[in-house]
Amino acid sequence: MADLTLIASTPATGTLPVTRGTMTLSQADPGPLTSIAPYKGQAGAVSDALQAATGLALPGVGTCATGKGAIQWFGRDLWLLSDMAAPDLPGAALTDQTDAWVTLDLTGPQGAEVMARRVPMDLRLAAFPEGATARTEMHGMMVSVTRTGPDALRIMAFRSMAKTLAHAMIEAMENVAAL
Amino acid sequence: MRLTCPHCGTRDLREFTYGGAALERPTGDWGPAWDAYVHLRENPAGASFEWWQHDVCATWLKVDRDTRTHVISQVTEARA
Ligand SMILES: [Zn+2]
Repeated sequence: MADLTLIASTPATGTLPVTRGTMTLSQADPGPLTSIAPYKGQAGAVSDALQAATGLALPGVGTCATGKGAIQWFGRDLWLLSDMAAPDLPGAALTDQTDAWVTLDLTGPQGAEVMARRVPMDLRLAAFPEGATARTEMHGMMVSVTRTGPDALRIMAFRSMAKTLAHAMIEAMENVAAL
Repeated sequence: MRLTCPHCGTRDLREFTYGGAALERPTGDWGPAWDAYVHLRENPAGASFEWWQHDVCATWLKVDRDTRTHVISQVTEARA
């Protein structure tokens, strides 16, 4: 029998990176993704255990923390660990999400203007500073948006929606570039 | 219309799904109270107590809404 080698394939976004005007959309690789859902009343203990194992505690609502890997708030009683393998956390349900999401980086000085055409949130730097993360709706998709830099936003959606996400983003970039 | 999620803050209506009237669930065996709980609904012009879900963070909310003005006087997390 032939030797088989598995090759990771990226989500089907179409050709990226794409630049329109001052903005560039590219595909990011956030590494391994694991959702952490502490059992009832266990959030404190899970946070302590995670910190002991990785140096990262569970961040508060709407925020994220980075160190060796990164952890972000991901919804009610839910966090997402990225860029590192998950440690053993007995008080929480851990789920491998690595192949479940498409992750795009939107970089350039007009990120807030582009996003204003797609999400019902104020994502200007003053209202959405570095370290801020949010779950919101974009073009019918339930997305995660994180500010990773003054001119950088990271957008995550379900992998099956990769092409729709890229299309919606590029269209908004073109609308802003055309102004 | 906007609702204020206790986790995410004030958000646009498009992020929420209506979950029906917030009614007191009867206890015990089937009877007129259960019949009313399952089938009978008020159609208030004014204060209305409703379930809404914030889809993006998965939180269920109990909302006190005025049906004439869409003024939201209270939002609390359902499990609280
Ligand atoms: Zn919410």
